Amino acid sequence: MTLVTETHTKRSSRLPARLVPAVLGGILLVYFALPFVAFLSRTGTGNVVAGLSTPEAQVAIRNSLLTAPVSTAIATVFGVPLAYTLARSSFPGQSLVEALVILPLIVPPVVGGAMIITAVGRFTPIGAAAAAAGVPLTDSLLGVVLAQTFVAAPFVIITARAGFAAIDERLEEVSRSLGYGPVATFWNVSLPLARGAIVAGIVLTFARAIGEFGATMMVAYNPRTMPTRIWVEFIAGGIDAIFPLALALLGITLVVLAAVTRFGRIPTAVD
Amino acid sequence: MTTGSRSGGLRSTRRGFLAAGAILPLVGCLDGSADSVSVLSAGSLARTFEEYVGPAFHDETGIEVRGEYYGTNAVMRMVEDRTKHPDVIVSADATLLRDRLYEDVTDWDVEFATNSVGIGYNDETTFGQRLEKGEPWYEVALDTDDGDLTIADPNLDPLGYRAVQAFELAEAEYGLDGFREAMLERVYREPEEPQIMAGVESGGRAGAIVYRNMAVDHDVPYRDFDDAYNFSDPERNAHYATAEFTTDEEGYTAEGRAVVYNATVNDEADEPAAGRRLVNFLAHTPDVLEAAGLTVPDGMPVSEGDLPEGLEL
Repeated sequence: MTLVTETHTKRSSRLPARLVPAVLGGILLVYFALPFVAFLSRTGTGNVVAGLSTPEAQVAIRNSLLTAPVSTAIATVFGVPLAYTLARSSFPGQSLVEALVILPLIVPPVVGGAMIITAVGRFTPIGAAAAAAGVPLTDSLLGVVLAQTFVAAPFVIITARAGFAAIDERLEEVSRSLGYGPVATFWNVSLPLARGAIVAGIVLTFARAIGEFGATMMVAYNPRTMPTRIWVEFIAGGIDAIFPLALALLGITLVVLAAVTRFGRIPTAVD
Repeated sequence: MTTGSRSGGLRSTRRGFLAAGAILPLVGCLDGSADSVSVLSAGSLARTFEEYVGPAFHDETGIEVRGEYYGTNAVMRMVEDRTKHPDVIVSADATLLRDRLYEDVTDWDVEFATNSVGIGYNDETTFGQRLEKGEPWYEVALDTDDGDLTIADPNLDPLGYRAVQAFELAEAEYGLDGFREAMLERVYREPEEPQIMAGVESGGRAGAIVYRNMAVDHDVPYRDFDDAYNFSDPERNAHYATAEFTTDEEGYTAEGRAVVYNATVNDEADEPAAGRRLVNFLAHTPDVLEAAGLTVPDGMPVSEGDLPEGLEL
């Protein structure tokens, strides 16, 4: 009887316990939705198709669709191993490395862009050599990728690191004791187990990369991506002018988000 | 199950690599820098270049105009610091370009257009409706509440101190004692030029002191100031100069002077020939500039310094 009463008490106290976070979260959701609805109702959707069919808009969409996946791929290929190393090893200067990883998140994107220019800009040794070789690092799609990668890569690193850290190390030890090497263990045990976190990180990185403006503007204002085009439209034509591209950017990001979460999370035995 | 999921992970990673491999070669070839000219310009000319000059120049020459737009002060600083390396530099303040860029970056320029200052307004507000009825702007402006009217920040932006100077010149013109101070007490100072028009468009502000082409760009009703204080006529510079403004932090004193746009080609331009063609185009197509809301008065274009070969006015 005592048990039953306890269960009952727990259940009845669970409702407000769930209600409180839902209400708190709901307030934030309303705050997210309100500007969006206001924006939508102000401009209407009539000119969206026309706005998106201009050659400038199409070039911007194409450039964004080319650069953001490349930046995301680079961030993932190099960032996931880094995340694993940070989660599984300890070495001198580790906190310094971890600080370096979050540095791009801390500095405003414009400052990040200024840093990139300082390092690889047109008049630096690296930038000049690259330009002479025919692959300019500024004012090129490559420059866009550099800016996006700098700003967006920390998301996949930090998220993947948390994913690796959450794996029971004994599972990796079992793999090693069965004779698998560190690479095979990483590939066959750690990576699949951390996949949910990694996929979440990839989605965040992609969303950040395709929406990147501040650093991109400094490094490669041209060729234009969707965010730089949106900025030029805003300078030149005001709020109404930016609506079609802003909506397209949102749509693309949502589709990618949905697709990656859908296909990236194939249920596994461990799940 | 575990095996299946493992190979699924492998496959998707491989696919990612393949996708990256397919995209990377495109990165290089989409540049198309050979047929373009880069322009670093005052932000108030963004629409002029994007929608008027750029397409018209491309039609005529096949050269694409790649514009970047910042405040004129930022444009000068970026060129001086070599943060940006445009082929063509366009300033909203002819004197500023000469003060800052002569010797290091160029030794000539061409003045190609002027702009005028006035009030852009929202015609759904009382302020706008009274203007439409033909009431003098300075009387209507004195009836506004705090923050109804916007000017650019006079400490950051020539458009801002021109607004203050216009108040001062209007005060003298109409004998309105204390008009400048009364206006400064009630106007909102907007640090970012693009946001000024956004405020008027959205109805957040009743009106703003802006360049005429900004109102044309944003399709906002506009009333030009009187010639005595709209800064459109270089020949009235002596009169404009009777109004001064000293900025807060830098203590820079700006005398009133006409809004004159000038352009030059960077000594280190990647495409100097295309740059000169664009400056030439700016100097010789007044109809394109006027369609964009600028003014090309008699006597323009005017050159300063020794024009490079191939450029004639």
